[in-house]
Amino acid sequence: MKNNLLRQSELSMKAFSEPELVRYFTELSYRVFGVSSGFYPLGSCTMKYNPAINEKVASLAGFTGIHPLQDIKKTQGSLRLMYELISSLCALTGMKDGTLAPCAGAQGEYTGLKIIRKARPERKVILVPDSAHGTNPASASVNGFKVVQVNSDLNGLVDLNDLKSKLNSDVAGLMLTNPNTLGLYEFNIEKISDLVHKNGALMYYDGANFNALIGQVKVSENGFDILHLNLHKTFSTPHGGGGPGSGPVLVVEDLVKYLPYRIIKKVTKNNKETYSVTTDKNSIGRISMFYGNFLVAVKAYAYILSMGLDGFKLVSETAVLNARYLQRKLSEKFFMPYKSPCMHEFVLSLDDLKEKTSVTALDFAKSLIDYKMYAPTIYFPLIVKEALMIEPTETENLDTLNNFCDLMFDLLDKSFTNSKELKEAPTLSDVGRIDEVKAVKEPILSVYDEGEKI
Amino acid sequence: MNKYIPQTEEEKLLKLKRIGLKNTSELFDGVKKSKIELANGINEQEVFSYINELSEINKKEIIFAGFGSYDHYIPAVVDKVSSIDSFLTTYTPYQAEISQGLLRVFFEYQSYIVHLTGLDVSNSSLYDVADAAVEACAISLSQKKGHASILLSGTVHPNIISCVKTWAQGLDCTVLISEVKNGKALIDKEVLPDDLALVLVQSPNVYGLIEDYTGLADIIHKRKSLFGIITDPMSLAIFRTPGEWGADISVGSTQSLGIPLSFGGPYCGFMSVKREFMRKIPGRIVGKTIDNQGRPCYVLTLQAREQHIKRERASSNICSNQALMALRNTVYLKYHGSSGLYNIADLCLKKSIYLAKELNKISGVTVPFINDLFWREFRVDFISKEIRDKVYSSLSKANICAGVKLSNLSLLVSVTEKRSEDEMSKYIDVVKRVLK
Ligand SMILES: Cc1ncc(COP(=O)(O)O)c(C=O)c1O
Repeated sequence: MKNNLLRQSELSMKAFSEPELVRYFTELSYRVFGVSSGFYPLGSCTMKYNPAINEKVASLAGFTGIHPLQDIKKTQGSLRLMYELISSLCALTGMKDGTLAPCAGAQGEYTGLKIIRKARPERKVILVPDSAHGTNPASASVNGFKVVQVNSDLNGLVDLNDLKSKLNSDVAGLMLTNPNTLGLYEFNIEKISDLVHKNGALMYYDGANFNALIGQVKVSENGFDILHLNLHKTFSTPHGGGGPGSGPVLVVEDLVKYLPYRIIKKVTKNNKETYSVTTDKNSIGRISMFYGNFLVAVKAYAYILSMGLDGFKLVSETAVLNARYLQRKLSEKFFMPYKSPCMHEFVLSLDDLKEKTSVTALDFAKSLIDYKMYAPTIYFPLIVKEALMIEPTETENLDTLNNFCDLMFDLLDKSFTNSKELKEAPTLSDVGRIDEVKAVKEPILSVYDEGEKI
Repeated sequence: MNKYIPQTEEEKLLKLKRIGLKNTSELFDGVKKSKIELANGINEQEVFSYINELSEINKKEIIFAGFGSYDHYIPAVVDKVSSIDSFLTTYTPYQAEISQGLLRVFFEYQSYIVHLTGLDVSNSSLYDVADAAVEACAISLSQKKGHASILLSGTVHPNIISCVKTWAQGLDCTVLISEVKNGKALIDKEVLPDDLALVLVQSPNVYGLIEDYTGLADIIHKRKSLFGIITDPMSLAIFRTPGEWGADISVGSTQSLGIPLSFGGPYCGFMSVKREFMRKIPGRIVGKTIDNQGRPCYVLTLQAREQHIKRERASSNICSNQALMALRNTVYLKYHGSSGLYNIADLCLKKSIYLAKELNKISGVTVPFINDLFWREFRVDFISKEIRDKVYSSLSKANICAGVKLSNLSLLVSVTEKRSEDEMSKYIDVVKRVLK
């Protein structure tokens, strides 16, 4: 071998025995809080319980040991599962066909926007509400679109007049999540779709909040043309410490031809069904290496079979009921910037409390985690000051909901009587409040930055 | 009661009463309901047998296919650790104080990537190698004003090339593909465009060949352009690192390091960069700092780059990533250490050379780059498409996946440490039989 082509620096990574490894990671795992550890009301993330059966089926050797490029005759089981999953997702949303290629919600947005560009090649603007998740404007701009913000009205819904004033022949689409990030249903959704469609633009549904509607509403009937779902939210696949997720994109009939590589088709011949993969010549092209996060799709499909339509009705119903129950109880003492009854989540503001006591949303979050629970999403959506965004999901029982309220009230009282305690929290976790400024100013991003070895 | 929804009828009524409603349908007042056609739920045993049946329709084979997905042995402890519930069911560690264990794991993952690639800074995962390549292109574009060109080597995996082309649609950017000579990138410095933003090459390349980039970094940097290398982190136990070639960015797939084939995903893309690009790198990054009592601890850092802060001015839209896969990589590397990893990489090298030589001896079969340096993967050419397909289907009958069909005459064959002598002999025998 030519020396020049070989590694020049010494490879130096310590090996560990199995017992050492298991002890090490088990110890680390004690210092991680998951859905299995306790209440995780992280708004917008739908941290529902992850059924055990999901993991069991995703670890079957007939899935884990299959190569994506084996002869298609030998991978019919995987293709069929993907086909049936897409069909079920279409049934739930009213869309015509879809793809499992996107690896997360944001990649779904990226894919959907590529489709919008293909379908509306002359148009350069994407509208996003001021309450939108950061990935919406980011996905639009990484796709080369200009982002124009649509304001919310006093009720927290899309301001129709503002929308009208921003619609013009350069607008390619509107990205919307419904219920929106305040947890409020966009009751004008059909009017919004009408306005957007009359303008020749397309409606994109960010399915992050689909848990509120699953089994109740096909969003195609709201006028949406393209959407992504988050299998790691609504469809109970675990979040894995940040991923892998899966962000399938589904479209109405007119847009099917633009879907990315590869589309799975069912062919029936002599009463025998087989599955094949094809691509339309109008396709936007490839957006990920193979079929996306296939094992995540397996877990989501197990969940769909377990729940079915009756189960999903109960999911959305209970998710909304739990959130509204919390909203009602907490509204007795907390300031709700938007008073309307919420859907699956709601946002309260501690701005007033901060004025009076200097206690912030961050202080609240850090105090909550001292009580064996995760914190709600904070400082999002951006239109609410000192926001706490609370999403209980349907998988929490009444005791958990009540305890959470009691705890919130306790902390509220303490904000007035002993704000120092909130400012100093957390004190029970293995580290206290973290110096994030130092982390940015003097970045240590690997063991080598501190002169050590791995 | 639904097994996943802990609520009795009584509790439901109590909650409804508290919010002043009579029944649950009032929760959706003003929402137009749809008629939905989907079967009702089935019980867990039925779910298991149905999905198990689907898994059994798939045919497990002895895998000689690679092309971005490699059949390495995965120590059982990797599965054991990655199924620990708290790791599995937590999300992005926003609340760092109760996520220290996971943050430490990502910090170690970043350290491994930095060490393997010979660069300075790594993020804590991207979706896959194609996504990582696209993000590298995006970084280079952000360094340029106005129109820019990106040059990809013609020996980059074609799926990565397609993803970059998809990405470039609608952007002020041209994607050029370099020529290929003897299976390797031919970067002709005479024809580099003036507005060059990035040259992105791959080694081991799509044919498994190790490319020589002597002098390339200088040429590229003189053009005020970035130099990116796509690689496989396992190969870096043996071969010259992107850092040693003078690259600014390195990306790749970490699938080789403890992630099962799984019909193509979930895998994981890595990215590492020179320190000067630290604030350009997309995705989550973990940093070490101290808490309010001076104790060392970890936190997500440099977040000013990210979508939740910068929105439409963010350099990337990524939010969720492939965290659990990065955890698998970390366990795998801690298990093997340098010598373990080197030995596996070396076995891949030796076994693929062995099979390539044996196949090359068969008349009617050519391994075109047999005298060149390749790792874990090589191209095999046949005299006709018919013969190639016959070889493929005969091996298929013996439950061997022969490789990945390339153009008309070729197969791309991959041999990992997992392939036994027996399996290789069987492969050789079948090929001999077909060509007799
Ligand atoms: C409303 C909304 N949209 C989009 C996303 C992005 O999804 P992902 O993290 O899967 O990329 C999120 C994620 O939290 C979200 O809450």
